[in-house]
Amino acid sequence: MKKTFSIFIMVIFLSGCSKSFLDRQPEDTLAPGIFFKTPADIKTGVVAVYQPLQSIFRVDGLPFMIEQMSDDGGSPYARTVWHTFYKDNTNSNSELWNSFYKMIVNANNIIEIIDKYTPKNDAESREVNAYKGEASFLRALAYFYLVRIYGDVPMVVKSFKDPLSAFGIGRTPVNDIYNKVVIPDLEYAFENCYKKGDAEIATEGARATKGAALTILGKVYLTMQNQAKAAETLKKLIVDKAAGDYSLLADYSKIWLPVNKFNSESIFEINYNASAGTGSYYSRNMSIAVAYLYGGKLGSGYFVVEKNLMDEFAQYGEEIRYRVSVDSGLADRLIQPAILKLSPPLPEAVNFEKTGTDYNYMVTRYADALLMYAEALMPSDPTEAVKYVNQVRARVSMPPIAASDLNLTRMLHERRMELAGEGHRYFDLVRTGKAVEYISKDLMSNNDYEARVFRSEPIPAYQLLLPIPVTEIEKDQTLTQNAGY
Amino acid sequence: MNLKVHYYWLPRPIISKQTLKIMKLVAIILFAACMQVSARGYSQITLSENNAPLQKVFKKIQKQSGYDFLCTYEILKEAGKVTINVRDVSLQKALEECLKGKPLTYVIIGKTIVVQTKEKDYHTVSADLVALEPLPPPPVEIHGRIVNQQGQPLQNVSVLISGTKIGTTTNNDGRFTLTAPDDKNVVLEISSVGYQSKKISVGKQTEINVTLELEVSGLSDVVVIGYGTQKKRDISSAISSVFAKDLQDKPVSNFAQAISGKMAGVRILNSNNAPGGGTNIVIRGINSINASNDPLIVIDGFPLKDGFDKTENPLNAINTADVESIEVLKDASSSAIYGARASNGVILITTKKGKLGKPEISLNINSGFEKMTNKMHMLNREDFLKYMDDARAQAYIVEDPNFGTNNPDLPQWKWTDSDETRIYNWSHFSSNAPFMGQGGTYYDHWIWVTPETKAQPYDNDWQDLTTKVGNVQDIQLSTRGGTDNIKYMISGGYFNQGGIVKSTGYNRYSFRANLEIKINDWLKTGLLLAPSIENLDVMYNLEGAFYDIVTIPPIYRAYDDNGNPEFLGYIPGDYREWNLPAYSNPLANDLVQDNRRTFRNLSTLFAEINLTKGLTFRSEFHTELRNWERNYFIPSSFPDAWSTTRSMGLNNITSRLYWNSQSFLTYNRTFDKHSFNAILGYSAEESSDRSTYISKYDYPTDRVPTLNQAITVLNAQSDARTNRSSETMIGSFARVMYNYNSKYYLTASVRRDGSSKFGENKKWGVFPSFSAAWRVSDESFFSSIKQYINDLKIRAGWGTIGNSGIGNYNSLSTLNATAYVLGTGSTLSPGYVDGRVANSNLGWESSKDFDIGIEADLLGSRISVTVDYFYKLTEDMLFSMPLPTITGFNSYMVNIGSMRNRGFEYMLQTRNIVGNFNWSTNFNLSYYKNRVLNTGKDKRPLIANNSYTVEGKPLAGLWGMDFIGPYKDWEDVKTNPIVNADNPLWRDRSAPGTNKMTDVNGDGVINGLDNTILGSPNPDFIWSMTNNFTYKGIDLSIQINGVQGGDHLMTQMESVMSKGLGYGNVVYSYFNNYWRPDRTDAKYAAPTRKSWDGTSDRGTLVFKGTYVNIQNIVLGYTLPKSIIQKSGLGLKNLRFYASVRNALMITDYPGFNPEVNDSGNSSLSQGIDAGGYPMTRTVSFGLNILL
Repeated sequence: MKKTFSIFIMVIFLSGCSKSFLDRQPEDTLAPGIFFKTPADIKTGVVAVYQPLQSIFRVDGLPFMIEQMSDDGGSPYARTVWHTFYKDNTNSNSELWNSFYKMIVNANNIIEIIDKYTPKNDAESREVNAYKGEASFLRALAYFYLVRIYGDVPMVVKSFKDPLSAFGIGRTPVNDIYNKVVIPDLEYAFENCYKKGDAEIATEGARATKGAALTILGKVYLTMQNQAKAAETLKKLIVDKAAGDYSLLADYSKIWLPVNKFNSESIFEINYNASAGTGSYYSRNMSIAVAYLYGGKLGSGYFVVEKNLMDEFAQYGEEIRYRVSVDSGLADRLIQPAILKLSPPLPEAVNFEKTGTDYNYMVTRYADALLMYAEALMPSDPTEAVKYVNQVRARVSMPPIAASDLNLTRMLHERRMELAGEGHRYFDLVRTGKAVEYISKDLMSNNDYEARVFRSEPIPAYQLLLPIPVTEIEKDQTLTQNAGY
Repeated sequence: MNLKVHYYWLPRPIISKQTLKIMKLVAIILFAACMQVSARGYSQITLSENNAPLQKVFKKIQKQSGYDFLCTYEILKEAGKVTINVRDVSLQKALEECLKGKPLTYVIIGKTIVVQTKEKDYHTVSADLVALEPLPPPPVEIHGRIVNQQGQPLQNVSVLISGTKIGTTTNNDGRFTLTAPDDKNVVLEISSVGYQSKKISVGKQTEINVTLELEVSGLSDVVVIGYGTQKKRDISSAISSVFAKDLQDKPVSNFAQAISGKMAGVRILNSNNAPGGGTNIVIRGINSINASNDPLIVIDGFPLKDGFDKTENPLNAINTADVESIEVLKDASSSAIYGARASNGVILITTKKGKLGKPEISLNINSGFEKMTNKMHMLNREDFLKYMDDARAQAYIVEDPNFGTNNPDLPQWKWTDSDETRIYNWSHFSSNAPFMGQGGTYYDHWIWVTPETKAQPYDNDWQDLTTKVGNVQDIQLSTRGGTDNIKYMISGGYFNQGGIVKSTGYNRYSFRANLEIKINDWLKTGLLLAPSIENLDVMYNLEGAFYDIVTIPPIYRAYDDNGNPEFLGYIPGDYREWNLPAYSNPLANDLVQDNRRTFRNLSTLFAEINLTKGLTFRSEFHTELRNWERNYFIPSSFPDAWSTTRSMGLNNITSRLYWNSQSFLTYNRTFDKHSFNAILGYSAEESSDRSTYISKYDYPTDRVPTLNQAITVLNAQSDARTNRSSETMIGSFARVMYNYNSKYYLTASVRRDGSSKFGENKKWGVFPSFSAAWRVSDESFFSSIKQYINDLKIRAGWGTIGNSGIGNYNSLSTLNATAYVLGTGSTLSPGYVDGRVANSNLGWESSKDFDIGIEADLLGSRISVTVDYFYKLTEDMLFSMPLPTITGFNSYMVNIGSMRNRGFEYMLQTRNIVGNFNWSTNFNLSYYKNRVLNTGKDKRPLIANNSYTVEGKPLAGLWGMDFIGPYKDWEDVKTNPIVNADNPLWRDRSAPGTNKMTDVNGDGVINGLDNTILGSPNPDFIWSMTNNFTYKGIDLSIQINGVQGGDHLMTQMESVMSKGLGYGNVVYSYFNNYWRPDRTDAKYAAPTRKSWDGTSDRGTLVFKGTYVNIQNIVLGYTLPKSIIQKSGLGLKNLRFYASVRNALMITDYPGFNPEVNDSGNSSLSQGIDAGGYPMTRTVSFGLNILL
């Protein structure tokens, strides 16, 4: 009895546990190996490439930094190193680096998955190719921003099977990145993405289209100083309508309204939606100092428009674009003018301070494409070029200008007026070689509301690029730092 | 049948000890022989031997007759050879035949044949006696008296003849009388509870007087070890014990607080003093970088899962009143049997069990109150206004274009200039004059304090306003008793602590039933059940809250005209008129509700089978069911400086089902002087966790905090979710313990564990250990000094122990869910993204540990000393290795690197005065040194939260710039490196009164590269002393704990203690010591409204955590038995006591709590004080009743 009983108990306890007892798989997440079996699965991988855009373009991310680095804006506290170009190697904005590479890694992963996927029919083939096109577009966009912000960067186009192999990869020259990744990716995207208005993406306006690929490709060529290729590319968009119909929205003030998301002028937008928990806090952080006056509440007011820009609006009699773009503050008290485009009207802005707004951030829109096309045509065909400039001016009731007046300075002025606060100014100044001149002029003159002078000497040219994040160099010491830092 | 007994009545041969041993051997041989034949009956004897030894013949007779022989070896030797030839004769005939012609005779008594020499025969033994009962030995009466060291008689002392059941107890006068065989080998065992047992060799004495000494060293205490118990005397590894009596009378929520200071090498840090808050337990230092640093807690054989939690202490669920003993296994040789999770030490908790006897009811009531200690000394209104003035004067002076030059064309700016002069000077001469702006009011205030500010009548001490007197109640009722078949212990307890901050509080209802049932003589079973319910109210923003409390200026109004807290804290009017920031009133923190409720049930079912003598099989099945719920609510009325708070509610439920099954065989035998104990066992466990999380925003009303009221789900994916996770572990273990005569000890154990957490290639780990001990005092060479050193043991152990304290699934890759809105509506499209890199080689972190110790009892056990040295080396550390971001991941977990801890522990127990008045002292002291030996290929420092860890240095050095006093004057500025000299924006901020830092790298510029290690958070040593006094019914216990050294970095307090900004409040030690033109030798930088010089002077914020704390004073009075008996209430015992916890904290540490540890048990960030809940002094009164 005694023996039987104890053997019985022992058997119970010993038999319960086999080797498989220790094999535990996550219960609330998927494993990469068993997913991505259908186009719908693949779509989720593409969505994951879009997602980091929100953290990149959140208000204290890229827009905040890039506007302050231009001569369009600064901080009311007037002390940020972005604005005054006193950066050192700690000012690398590693969050931007991380988010762009997150996008790239996610794109690489899903592109590899799509490459291995065998579509069951033509419709599926069309669908997954479009996904690959979008992932390619986003990868190109990420690299395009990276090289403009950091210069040469590590080129990663495949996933790392062994993460240790990422050490020692080094930096690839900017032009190689353009030629090996950005341009091929954008060309692939143009070939394979849907057109704006295609039924497949009728309800998904935030997805990248052929038009987005063409416009960014045009911008890439302009940045590479290849006006001819830029013109050729943008011609497909504007003249050949190869990417569908685009047109300027009649009312300039309504381009950014949430009700007008993905309108006829929109080419690529970062989508925000407060009810989905992904509201935009642009108005709270960039404009609320103004909102304070209307709503009687306290604001943070991280951002202030430079007087320089306000003066330029005034000087050129820009009534509509001025009113829509910025606020001049009130007369009786010094106030911080802010970008208004991406915010609700001021009296309403306070209602959104807690939830954020639905205002999208436009990476590019048709007016940008038109002005770029004009800029690309300018050296070869100023007469044709000025048509597109005047098309943009006409919308905001500005008189046409003559082809003879068209030059780079004028182009930069037009772009500044039309695109103020949309994240273009700094890159425009850099690619046209005017950055040191324009920004230094701004910082060395009594050019803000308190007539402060921030620099006695021009900005150092090396600071047009950000330092490579020190944390990355610490991790992989073969990574070199940008000159000057 | 015990042959030894037969000796006693035998005539005493004059024999040597040597002979005695041989005789015993022979006896054993005979005994063994007769065992086999004794079952046979009487039979006829047939013998045919020629010249055979007598022994051989006897054996044959034994075999055939079944009768035992008893004789001495000498007889056998001297008897010579025998020749005998008989067939079927009687036993007597056969015996006569073989003893014929020899000087021997025999007698048969019972079934034993005693062979004797004829000459030496004292008794006339004839064959007649064969049929009679054996003769009783001549009764020798032994008288004696037993007294204590004061000569007072001890009654009820047990006196037993060793090896027999003959015994008695002493009477009231301490006397005893015992009848013993007249044998000089009689040994008396004298024992009494509370006294050291003694063995007395009687010899020829008949009057024996014995003095018993008090038991202090507890050498005979039984100590719980892994899977068994052992006498403390026989322990060969580093184990510390604490018993119930040390845990009682303290109104604390968990046992860790009660054992604080009781054990050398075990450091208990109250890192969060809030009610129910977390307690760090560090046993012999921190051993891991990224894996767990928590000791394994095993309660009645059940290894618990919970680790450290700063806010909610999982240890609270264990009712201290139910604890019988706590053992801490400090070294690998004791803990390796728990291999898998033992690397940070093991704490074994044994709860009170039933005991034989009538039910005994115990009631303990304790109630008291607590108050904040260690207030920070903040400025009052008057001084605060002065300080504001100074800060503005400094800002003004820094604007002086003359500053640093001697321009005769400009007016001389003086610290003492009037407001009007300041405004005039600044707006006309300062290079920053445009800052003043038109209309100017806004910027004027940088340089003068407004009349509105100065006119404020308020002089609030915010620390007083926001804290109150807290209260503590602890009520414990239990009963225990038992019969031969059932033993039980049942208890119920209620503990309540209302904190010193209104929104904090903790209460616990706990129950326990321990039942043990003896089914028959080989089967025992039992059930232990311990449900508990805990409610915890957590303070909003624990760290920040007390920072806010000290920084809010005294001139801010606390309550409005209606007596409600004025939440925005402004004085009516535009805050900018004051030029002060918008402080939110810290009283508003009480608006936030954060309640955590935990239900937990621990249960254990066991069966124990006695297989054969010494061999036991025990099987235990443990389960834990834990349900935790958090309800959090921020009402819309909660103010913050930016008014961005949305009303928000959160509900989070987690549940865990954890089972653990263990079965083991124990073999326990003693052969003569050889003691064996061996176990062999197997364990398996599984824990599965589930959680639900919902949070919603925007309540229409603040009255109902439940989520059904709220309107908005902000992020559908992350704000409404459930999660699941599970882990499993299998272990098999074996251990052999051997000792020879309690003199030489050897122990070896091995455990093999497998864990689901590790990669497929490295799931299993093997953890061996060895230890040995030598009781030197039992050696013969020691006997000369044994009267001074009563007991001396040297022990040493080595072992490997493991750590698997990481999250689940770290070796596997996962897909994380994300989402993006693709359309115009709010429909989220799901996204999946790689969440983790797989590492199939992820395996165990292991620590190799060596310990050597000496234990000694001196001077009649008046003094006992234990000294331990340990060396612990952690290898293959579970390390979160940083990856380049281009991989898409920040880090992944690998086994890399090593770290060591080594140190000494000393323990001294003395009985200083013994008598009516007793005074005893327990003292312990320990220290250790930590060093990170290897961090793999990546030699970069690990910098986290102002802490710096690098190869070759101790963990978590405090990190920052080293402040060396303010620049005294312009000369000083010009001749020393200045701050951020390479940055024009900041370099002109270096001026007299600003921070001067050490130029660590000597490049002439002070910048981020000049960070250095400012201190070490590890104390030099920690110590504790407990003095116990008793006099008649009065008992007094005073425990003092101390920490020597160890730096803390008060990261958050820069603006409060060393670099005032001119608006938040500051401490007096800063106010009285900052730079002014009339105080240029000052210790600290001048406060300034123009403060930003781009540095942070952590160097001024490093303070030694040295303290001496009178941790506990307990004064009790036990009513004399006579009074209790007279009362007729049937009481057995009644005691009143008063206790004071944290009675007096002597420290120079300026913060609220010198034990604070902001990052909890993170190894990479130690000694950071970012605020936190203040220490409290608790005064309580209690009652122990035993029925």
